[in-house]
Amino acid sequence: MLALVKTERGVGHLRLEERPDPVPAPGWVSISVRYAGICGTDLHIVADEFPYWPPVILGHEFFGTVAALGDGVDGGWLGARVVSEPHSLACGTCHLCRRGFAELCASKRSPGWGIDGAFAGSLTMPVHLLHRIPDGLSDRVAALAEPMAVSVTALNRGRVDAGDTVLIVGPGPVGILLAAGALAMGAAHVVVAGRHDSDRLRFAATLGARTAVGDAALELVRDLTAGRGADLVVDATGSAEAIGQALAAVRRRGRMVAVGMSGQPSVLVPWDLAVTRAVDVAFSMSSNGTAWEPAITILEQVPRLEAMSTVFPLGAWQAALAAVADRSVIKALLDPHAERAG
Amino acid sequence: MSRPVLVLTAAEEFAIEQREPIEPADGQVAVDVGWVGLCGTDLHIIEGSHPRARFPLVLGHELVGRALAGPLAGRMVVVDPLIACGTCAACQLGERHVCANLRLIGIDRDGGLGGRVVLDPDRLHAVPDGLDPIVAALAEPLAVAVHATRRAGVSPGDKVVIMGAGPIGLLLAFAVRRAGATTIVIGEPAPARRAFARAAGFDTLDPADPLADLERRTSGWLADVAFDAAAVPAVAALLPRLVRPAGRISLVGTYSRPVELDLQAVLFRELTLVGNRVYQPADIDSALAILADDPAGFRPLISDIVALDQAPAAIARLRAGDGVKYLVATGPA
Repeated sequence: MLALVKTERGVGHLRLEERPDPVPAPGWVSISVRYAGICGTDLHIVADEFPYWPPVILGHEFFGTVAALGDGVDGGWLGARVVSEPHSLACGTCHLCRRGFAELCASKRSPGWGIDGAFAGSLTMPVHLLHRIPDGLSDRVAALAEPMAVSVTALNRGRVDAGDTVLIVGPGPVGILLAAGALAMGAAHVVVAGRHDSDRLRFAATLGARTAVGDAALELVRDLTAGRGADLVVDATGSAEAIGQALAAVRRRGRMVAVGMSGQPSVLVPWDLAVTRAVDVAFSMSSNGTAWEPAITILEQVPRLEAMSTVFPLGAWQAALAAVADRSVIKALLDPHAERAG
Repeated sequence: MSRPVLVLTAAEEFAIEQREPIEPADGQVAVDVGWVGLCGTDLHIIEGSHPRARFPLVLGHELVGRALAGPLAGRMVVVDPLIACGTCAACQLGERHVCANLRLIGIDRDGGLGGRVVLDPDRLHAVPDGLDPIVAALAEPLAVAVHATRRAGVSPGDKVVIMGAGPIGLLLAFAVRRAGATTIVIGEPAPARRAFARAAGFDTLDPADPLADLERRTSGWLADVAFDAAAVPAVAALLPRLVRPAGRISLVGTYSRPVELDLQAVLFRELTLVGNRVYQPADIDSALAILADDPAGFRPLISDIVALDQAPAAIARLRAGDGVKYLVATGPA
């Protein structure tokens, strides 16, 4: 099979290689990849800014069908349409695993950086991490399950109550899925804020979110809440400017969730504003196992998510990575079984 | 100028009296009431079985009208009818809705069927621009449902069973659907109410064996959350068996006397039992935002809007289980 491999440490070192089809170990299955999503983390790995164990096939967001079973796996899995939590090799015994937080286990080695991932014809995963995809959910939308689960995890950290007003700062793929999740959890108003007008903001509007550029977000939130401010604000950027905007918009005794990485050792925040508003702040990382079934439910409920992704053949990986880097697509999916471009 | 007021003079006895409009005391604001929702509590008061209500009484605690003074002067408002003492332990803890001496407009003192109420300005919530005030009249009962939904922690994909398809049971179904519940089944013995629930898009349980039907519909999982909006002993007996281990039971309906509940099942299955009494101010804001977002979805819950002199007839229909929510139009608003 063809696979996109980060061959060694350092910036770059990305190459399409011919690899043997992986064989599932006992308790694992082989998944034929239908679509694999490119995430900001993949770009960070290419740029040598995120831990990884080369040589390794990239790709941790995927949808596919179970193609082969390791020993001890129930035969009912064969042919199943599945997505998978990426928390492979979590130890199961540390204090985090025992509390149900395998996603934060120090021993975890996820596909795409710790073990071979989904930018390939197939990959192997432990069967206990799989989630079946309902028949009515399309392949392309199912491929959004991992970032949707990341979004649900973040929203659960901050809690969305029916009738809430929620501000999402940053209209990237996770920002858009946060908006979809907040609406599915019953928010009356979801505002997605961006630094400038963009296709991403316009797409968020098609999901039922309101959108605003720059300082207009604060005004819109105030209008929607009779001046109170947002019940929950979520920063999906990690930028100081966006965090400032989020804290300016949150109500007193409101809630804030930080899910964006800054790429910096520290970030300036309007500390006293947050103190005087007595804001509950939670940080969120990766996806908790309990968020996956709700995430799949939300993907079933939200119409028009098909249009969120752009599909590239695996052979066109350079164009796909470039499109993610310059934000000319919202979510790029790689199709490893498409005819090779060129 | 005097105006007609519907007075409950004794159990089951109504009279229309001409009264001068009440004037607000210092610091209070008057609201000219446009519409009054009738509720099950009103039925208890009318039959003389409410523990606190005394006659003569002007009913009406689900109120929409126009504020005549204060920060919202001139605007359409929904009234929070709760009057807390401000000094008991609950009030000191900021939980004024469970005040030990809680009183309500329309129950403990004259309510909206007099066409005017006076209250402290913090009791008013502005109706969002563009929301039909008739739909806004559902804000008070919907706030009950929003409060219970929030406290039960309903989240997307949850399986929810609601016992009772009266107005509160139906509004709970709307609220948990809003919160993302995907399996919502309602247990209700009255065929007309079951039919209404199904027409609103919800599944109903087989009244012959609700537990077996719930098991079948959830492939044995049972409910993540069970709401009791029926408050009858047969439901109390069933509640701990309707939810999965570590599930939640939310009590919303009001029991008039102690009932048997299997606490051994609550303990062994580590169930969370959540009581709910009315709502907090934020729940009314949330209810108004939800109504403003989908007014057409809620409008069918309003079975009829009647004039003041037709209120006793509407109450009789409500008592007969005919319809969901009746509004009484109390004058120009």
